[in-house]
Amino acid sequence: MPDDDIDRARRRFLQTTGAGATLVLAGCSAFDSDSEETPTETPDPTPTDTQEETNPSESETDDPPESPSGQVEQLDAYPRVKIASVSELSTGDVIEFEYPLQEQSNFLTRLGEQAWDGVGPDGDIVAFNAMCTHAGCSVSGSVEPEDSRAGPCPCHYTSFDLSKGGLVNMGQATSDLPQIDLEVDGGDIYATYVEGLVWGYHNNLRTGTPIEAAQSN
Amino acid sequence: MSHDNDVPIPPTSAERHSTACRYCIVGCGYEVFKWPVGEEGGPSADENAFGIDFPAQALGGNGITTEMHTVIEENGEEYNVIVKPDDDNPVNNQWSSGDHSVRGGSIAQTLYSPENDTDDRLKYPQIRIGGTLQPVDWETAIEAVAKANELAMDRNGPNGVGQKLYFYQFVENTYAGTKLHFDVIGSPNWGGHNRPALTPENPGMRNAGLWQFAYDYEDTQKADNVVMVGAEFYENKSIIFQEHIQLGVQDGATPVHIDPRQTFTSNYSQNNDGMHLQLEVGTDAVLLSSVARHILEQGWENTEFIEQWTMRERSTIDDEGWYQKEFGQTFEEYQEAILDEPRYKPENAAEITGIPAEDIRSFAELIGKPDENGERPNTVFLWEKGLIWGFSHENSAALGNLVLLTGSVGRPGAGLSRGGGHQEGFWMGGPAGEAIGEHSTQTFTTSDGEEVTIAPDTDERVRNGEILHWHVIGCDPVRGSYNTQQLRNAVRERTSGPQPQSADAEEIARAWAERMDQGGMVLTNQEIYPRTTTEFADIVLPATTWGEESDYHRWNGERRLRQYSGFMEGPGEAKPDWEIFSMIGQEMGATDMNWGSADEIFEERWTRRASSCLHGWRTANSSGRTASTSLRRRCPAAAAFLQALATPSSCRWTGTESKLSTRSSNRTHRTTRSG
Repeated sequence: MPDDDIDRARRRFLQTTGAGATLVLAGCSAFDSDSEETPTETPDPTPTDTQEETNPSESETDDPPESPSGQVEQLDAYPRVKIASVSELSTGDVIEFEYPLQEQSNFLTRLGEQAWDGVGPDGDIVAFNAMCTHAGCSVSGSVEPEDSRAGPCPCHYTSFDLSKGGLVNMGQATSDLPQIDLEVDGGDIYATYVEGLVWGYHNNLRTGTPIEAAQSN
Repeated sequence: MSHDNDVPIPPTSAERHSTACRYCIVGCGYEVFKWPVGEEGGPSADENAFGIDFPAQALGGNGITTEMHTVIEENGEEYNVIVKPDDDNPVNNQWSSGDHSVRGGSIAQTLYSPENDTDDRLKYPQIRIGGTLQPVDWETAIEAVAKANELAMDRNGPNGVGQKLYFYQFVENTYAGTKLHFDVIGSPNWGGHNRPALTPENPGMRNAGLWQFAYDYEDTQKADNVVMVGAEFYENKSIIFQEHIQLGVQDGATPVHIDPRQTFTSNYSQNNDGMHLQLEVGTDAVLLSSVARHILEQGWENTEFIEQWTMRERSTIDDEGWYQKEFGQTFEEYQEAILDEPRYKPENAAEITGIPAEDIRSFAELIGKPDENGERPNTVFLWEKGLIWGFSHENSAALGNLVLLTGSVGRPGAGLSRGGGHQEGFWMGGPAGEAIGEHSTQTFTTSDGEEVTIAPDTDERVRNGEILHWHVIGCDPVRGSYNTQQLRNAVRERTSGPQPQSADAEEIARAWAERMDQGGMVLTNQEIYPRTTTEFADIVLPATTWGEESDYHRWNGERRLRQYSGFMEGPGEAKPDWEIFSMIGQEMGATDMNWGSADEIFEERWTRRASSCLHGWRTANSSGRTASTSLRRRCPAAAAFLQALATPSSCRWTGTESKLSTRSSNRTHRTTRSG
């Protein structure tokens, strides 16, 4: 196929990030043939758009330069960050948060059934990175706690099992959805670690602004 | 070295190779990056071999996962290897960039490394001595293979040797293997990895005169209808679905899934204004012929195409050969047969197939009815094992008839092709037609009482003792054939006789001769991993594979020639398959198999090849990125309608379809002789 055709196809996609809209329809309905619902909200299939602006390549050195603001420029280890309280999280709730870098969006949810590495009194509170491990689209708009599922992803329909460590149960992804390690301390939920590589990154702690630095700002 | 939470970035100095996926027929583009462990690129575009700023952009084709990375070892040095989708290749870059399936996304994990699960690769030639496989040097192993061939041919001529070889693992290897078998040995006993004889997999399509890969992926983007039969496209041919078919459906194409299973593709079809015809297992020929009947009753058939392209005279069909005489029909004969058969009335077909009559009519209208301006719908027909591995001839003939009836070939947005399986990598290197014609011990009796020689069923000849040395390459017949248990028992029994007590050539020859004289057999297994067949092998020959040493070629489901780069060494003393065939051939006296590289084999075949009918080629430039030339040759022969369900007592209903699978060999015979 000539290059101009490829460009045309790409333009067609870019013109219609609404291509996402069509595909979302197709994806959800393809997953559940009995569903007659038409999704009214369109998850943005390109959640990492903003990364272009925030790609701080200059911050990636072994010996970070002193920051003018005095903030931490680079993480050497996973921070312990409070993200919610057990008492304010009901079954089926979905809370989005960034960790450990800005733009690394995650979701916290309570499944109502015990989950691998789940915390809280019922072991059903889990958190995952929201970027599909196949091509980096966000599954945060298709988290279904009642089915312990994230997905089908709006881009290529990969679906993950939230009760089993983010296991791929359908689709093209080759690795589980990265699970965020949680700790409960005094009724508060803390994120402490990310199990698995966040899509698009070569290292979960590099090429971004640490979330703690942002909070302390 | 663990890379659970990070993956190294290739530096700008990394070796870069262009290749294609090692797996399915879609043939997506991939790139390989290789560089020494300890070196690493940086996250900004000018510091890494991708030329991108990290983090990578969603859908941009440059995200690297831990599964795309591995560490290999060569000459005591460790190297990082990343195998990632090419972000600039028309196969997997239409809707998103660098799209990949779960298979292609984990190719790196299949690369040989002493540090991971691939460590059980076969590394050294072995011979079974005293009942146990023992490492030997290549010279001893090759002498032993040649000796086994000689002993077998001394006793039963060329029929004493059998070969079972993959159809797909690159044209250079299959060319060398079939040259050894059909030219040097001259045996008719040849089976492919998935069938026991040299027969077509889609006899109905081929005998209707249709080439089974007659479309471009792009046609699905331009089609009015995409009909998918007996195949699961999202799961198994993922990138055609995600990057091509979906674009067509977004532009208004109607997806139709014909499959007894409720799968992703059927749900997708139902929910995108299409249809899922969930028929009863094994009733495809009735359903498709019923659709044809409704088209004929409505007068929707493509008369212009039929008159221009199909055989109108009985005598023309009879002149084609016994197979066409047996099964071929003129349009008038076909029309009469379809309209005379009461089972093809939609109401009756509904009872047999489980598909409501109104759905049969709707589908017929979708693919057959011209619009108010007389424009005909463009339909792409895609099918796979669900159609062809049942009642193969009847099913594929019934679908082929629909293609002819609607004229769905030869124009943009229309076409036909396989919907799954491996890429195509088979080049015939020897005179198979002559070997089969002169030596085959299998015949078929036509309805005229004529005895025709056909390609022999090699599994049967392993069981009945005709084959005395069986050379099995890259497949596992004692684990996966028809009637597998019986075959495995025969192989076990026939290899359990006298065993050599030392690696001495004379002792080996003595034991094997004795075994053959007692009705036994010698088994050679040429493989990359030990498999069940290896357990019974007398000689084990370790082979290299995808990415190892040689550059290779094969083509994908739209006839796009894919180029494969060798970028690493194989394990231990393993050698490329073509080189092993070359050594055996030369040991047996061949003087025209001393190739210095796989490229020399490609040149030998390419320069003397007369292309098959309707067999188009598309070549890529050295980077494998863009189609640069299009060499299409078309066969002047016309197409013919076929009996898809001749009589109620046909093979279709009596379940003797295994006979049918060998019937079409005459066609193969003729083609290979003329080629």
